[in-house]
Amino acid sequence: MNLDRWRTRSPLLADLADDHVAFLASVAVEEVLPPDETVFKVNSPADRFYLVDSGGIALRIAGPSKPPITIQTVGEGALLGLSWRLPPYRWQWTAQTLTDTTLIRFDANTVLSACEADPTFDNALLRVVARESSQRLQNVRLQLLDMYGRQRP
Amino acid sequence: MTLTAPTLHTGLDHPMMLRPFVVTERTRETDDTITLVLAAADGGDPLRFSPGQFTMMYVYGVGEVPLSISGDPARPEALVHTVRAVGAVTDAICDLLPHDTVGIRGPYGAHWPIAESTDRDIVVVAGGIGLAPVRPAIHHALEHRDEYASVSIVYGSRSPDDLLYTDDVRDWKARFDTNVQITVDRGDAGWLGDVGVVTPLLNRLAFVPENTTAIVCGPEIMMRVVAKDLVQRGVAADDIHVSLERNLKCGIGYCGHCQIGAAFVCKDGPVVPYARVAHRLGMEEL
Repeated sequence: MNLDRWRTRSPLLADLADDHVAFLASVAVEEVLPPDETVFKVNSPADRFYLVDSGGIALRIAGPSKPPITIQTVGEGALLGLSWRLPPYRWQWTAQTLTDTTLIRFDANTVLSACEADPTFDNALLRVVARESSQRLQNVRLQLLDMYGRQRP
Repeated sequence: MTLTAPTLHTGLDHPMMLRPFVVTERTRETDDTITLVLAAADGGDPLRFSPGQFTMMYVYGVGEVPLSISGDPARPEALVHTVRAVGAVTDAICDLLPHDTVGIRGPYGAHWPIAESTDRDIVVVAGGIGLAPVRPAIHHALEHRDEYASVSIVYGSRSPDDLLYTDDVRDWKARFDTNVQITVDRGDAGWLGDVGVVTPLLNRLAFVPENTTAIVCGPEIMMRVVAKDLVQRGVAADDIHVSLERNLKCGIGYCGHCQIGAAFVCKDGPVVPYARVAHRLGMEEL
């Protein structure tokens, strides 16, 4: 699969070496999903990850006796799925399509095998996952600030 | 250093002199925010302004506050203010009804450099009530759309119920020549749009960093995060403009209440290049 479109624009690929991108392109599989389709479910095995090619995904969590709420959405170019890289290798959220969505899927075992054989690839992917995790943590902190809420003096 | 005395004014040209304006329309935007349309009640000229400027509105017997002008600069006969009730004066403003009269001074302050940015990519990022001060710039950009390379608008809100100017936003989204991205911090069951902060939405905009003028308005922490992100993408800090909010009292640089460093927000701002304030925006004490 050709990933040139996302070579510089996706956080998954932007900082990877050309041969690493070529490897990911060789194992990438396109997945086309309708709206409201579950991509993965919380607590199930995180055995894959995705690049969002088009459309949008809601990351949801359900509280006790409450309907699920959307914590975050991810759109075109985003890396979907971080749990495949870190123990316990289970999804932390449920991911659901918001609209007609095309995903580029990568099998975690295939990529992890390549990482074992090539420590520079392993290191590069770990940096991608760490940076994305850090960025999402910062974003959630900003959301928690309720910065757009009314602030009486 | 030479100190010069302020110009002395007498009569109606005094910068502290109020003009009476009458409320002609009142629209509820959200549960705590309203938009007022006002007209000059003294038969004088309409209040011409540049996008980003503010007025001082005096509610007789209550007090005076600075308010960004949120109307269309091409239609100065309608003075538009969007106000959130956050204190005694703004509570009183939100209680105003058509035919009520207030006192207005201004317009004051620096403006968004929208008219000066022809042939450039325009990126507007607004958060919460921060959409009100940038709406005049959006009006100008869309009414002169052919003069700009691209126009993108990113708007972040607390929840779907807190979105301002929903009719305007719908119109902007319906245009084929404008990229509009909206996100909320908390969605609800009926919300099918984005949830999260505004910065990831910048990935969806097409702009040439070195040819971009960015207009950023919202809570200070949001402006700081957005400006840093834009700088990382290659936009020059001088081409990113933010709007500061401080305790404004006189509006004309007399009282010093709004001082930030060596500058007065009322006179040297509220719109300033990010490059001028980047080192101060992260200071908790300021």
